[in-house]
Amino acid sequence: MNPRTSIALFALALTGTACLRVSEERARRDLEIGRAQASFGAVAVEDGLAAIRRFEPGVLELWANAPVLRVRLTTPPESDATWSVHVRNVVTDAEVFVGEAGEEQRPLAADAPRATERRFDLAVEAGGVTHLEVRPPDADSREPFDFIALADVQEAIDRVGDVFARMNAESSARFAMFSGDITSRGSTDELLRFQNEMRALDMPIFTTLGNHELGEEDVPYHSIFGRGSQSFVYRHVRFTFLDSASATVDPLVYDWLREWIEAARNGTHLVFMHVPPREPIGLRNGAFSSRAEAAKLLRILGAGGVDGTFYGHVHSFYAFENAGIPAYISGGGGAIPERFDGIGRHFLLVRVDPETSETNVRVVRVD
Amino acid sequence: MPAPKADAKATKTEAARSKTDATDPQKTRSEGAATETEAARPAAKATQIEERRTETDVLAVTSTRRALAAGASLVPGLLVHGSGHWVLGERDTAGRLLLFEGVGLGALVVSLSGLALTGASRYFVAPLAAGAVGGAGMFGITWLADVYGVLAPDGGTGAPTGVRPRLAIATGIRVVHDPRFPHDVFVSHGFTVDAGPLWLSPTFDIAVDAPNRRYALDVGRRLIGATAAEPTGSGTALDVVLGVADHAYDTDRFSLTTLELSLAGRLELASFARTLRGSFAEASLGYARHWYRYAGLEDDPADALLARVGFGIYIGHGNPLRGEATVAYDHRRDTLAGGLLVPGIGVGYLGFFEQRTELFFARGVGAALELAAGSALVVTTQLLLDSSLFESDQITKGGAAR
Repeated sequence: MNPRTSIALFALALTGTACLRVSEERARRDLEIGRAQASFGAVAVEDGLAAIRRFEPGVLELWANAPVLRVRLTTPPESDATWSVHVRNVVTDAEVFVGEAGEEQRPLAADAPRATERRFDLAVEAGGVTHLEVRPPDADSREPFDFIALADVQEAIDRVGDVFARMNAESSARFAMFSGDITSRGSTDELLRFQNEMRALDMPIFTTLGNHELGEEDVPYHSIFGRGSQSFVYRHVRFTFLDSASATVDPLVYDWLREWIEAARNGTHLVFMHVPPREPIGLRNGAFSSRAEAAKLLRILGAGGVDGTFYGHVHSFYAFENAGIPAYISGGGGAIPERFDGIGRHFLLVRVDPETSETNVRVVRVD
Repeated sequence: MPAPKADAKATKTEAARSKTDATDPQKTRSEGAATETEAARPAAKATQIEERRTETDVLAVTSTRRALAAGASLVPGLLVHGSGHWVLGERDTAGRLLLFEGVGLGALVVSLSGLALTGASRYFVAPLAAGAVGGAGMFGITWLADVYGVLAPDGGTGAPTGVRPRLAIATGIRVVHDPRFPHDVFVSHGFTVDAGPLWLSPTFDIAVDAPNRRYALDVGRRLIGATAAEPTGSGTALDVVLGVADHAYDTDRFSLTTLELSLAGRLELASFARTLRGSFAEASLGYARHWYRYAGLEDDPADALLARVGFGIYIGHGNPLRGEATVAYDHRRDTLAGGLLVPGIGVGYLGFFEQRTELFFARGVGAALELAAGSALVVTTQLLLDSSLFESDQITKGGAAR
């Protein structure tokens, strides 16, 4: 084989196997989440923190992926005066307000078909903009609070009820942060099945996606659960999800991350993602594809004053440090467990103090 | 000089086989009972025997048959390795390739099953991952060997030099496309000094468009194979290698420091079949300890499994062209290439693929092209110089290469 043939063959191989920005398309989709426009109106959820599940004349349904949602509904002249709004996956004591954040708001009566759902009628000004906010009453509190961190249910969906029942027993937890691998292959049916199972829960689950949500060519995750990379603030603590499902973070997301880190520079900041940049068992490398990229991300997080990192992907529990940040891998949602680790199904109950940035992590066993 | 006894015996065996072959066209190029005897002899003597066979063999293997064999090496050869050799009439080699494919597949299946059953347990993951890489590597090598064996000219595409130069220099440029880092172009220099069984090889890569640089030093001891002082005529070699490296990414304010130990070997495949003359397999296995060092933050230590498998061919028989081309999978993820980014579920566990071609077009002067694909694409071009440039014809007759 002469060198020219070698080059041609290798170039062919590269075209077939190597893609350097495998998560770019997902990052760009993130920018579209929470936005919809049609002849009968336009809706925009601030920071894309909810997936728009239904947007029809006079009807809006959202899947919340954060405890506080700010929604802007724009309607054309002579459009419906009243909209039926249904918001799912909200904190159990969530309230609805009409009016722009920072200005005078008025509460709106809402039904609660389930503890984590709100349904209400919204009177809109035709040809104008209506602002809506869904938030729990403690959204601005500075008191310590609890949340749950978990990941990796995958094929164990039939048994996830046990996990949810145990989560319900932790009544202090305001919500759960799920670091990916909700399903085995990420199909629409699997994702909707998970949401159906969540009806048994007394708290919302906010999620990012894992590599097991990438089994379908056209990843349906975003239209059902929302963004893969996003950031929200609850009780003065910033929670950031990064889409590391492809064992890398897209360069676009690094730009967002820098903004989120800057916004939380003087506060508490917790970061969640599926594939950890590095893991304690380096010989296994259930971690980023590039060790240099792992170091780059960890340096950004460490220098940015991040107070805790939470990962999935490895089906066990590990507590360690990366770049001086406390780090936890908790992949105990039920997927094939790492054997001989003495852990089994579990999740983490995390107490965080917004004033001191201290986090206290407790392993809660399900089995 | 009188022919050694072994040679005379081989000639007899060869004559007997030629007689058999003449009556059985299917066996024209098959390896009979003499194969094992040949494999046991020094390569140079085997070459003499092969030369005597060549005339009749080449006449017997028609171009049509070779084309059919090449096709068979792809379909069904991609799955049933050795198909090409079987069509060519090299039944023994075909069987051996199929056997080793089976061994590779077996190792792969056992390792992957072990990983699944143990949930990639921390206690078993290293041998199982190494088994998976080795098994997949053997699978790939047997297929490439089948394709090579049916396409290569008689005597192979080239021959090893069988001697290492006392000094080999590689200097050139690396072009890197990594969307996560600002560097694009590196100057890359390195040299290898052979001092008997011991050798050392310092290299450095310095980016010209970003503050990024990597220094590395490998020190090895050749356990088996040619050195500058002891040519063997064969490319088969085994080295134990101790390496240290530091790679500074100043733009991103971190560096990766590595200490590693590995066993690296090359095996000439001519010892398996004469049709594979001019090809070789490579493998290495080792352990690395990394230290992620961040400016102003605590360091993070990390382990890494080092495993590499490759297949290569020699190019040219010297005078003047000689060289080699290798395609390899490298399980490491700490180089400029990183590890492969795979769309879909199977992410994060792969290293990178590499293809390197070295060609010496004059004594001691050559060039290399290296392509690596992981989470980044790296293209390296190098000027190669070695000490044979300054040595007499008699000393350098065998050439010089790794």
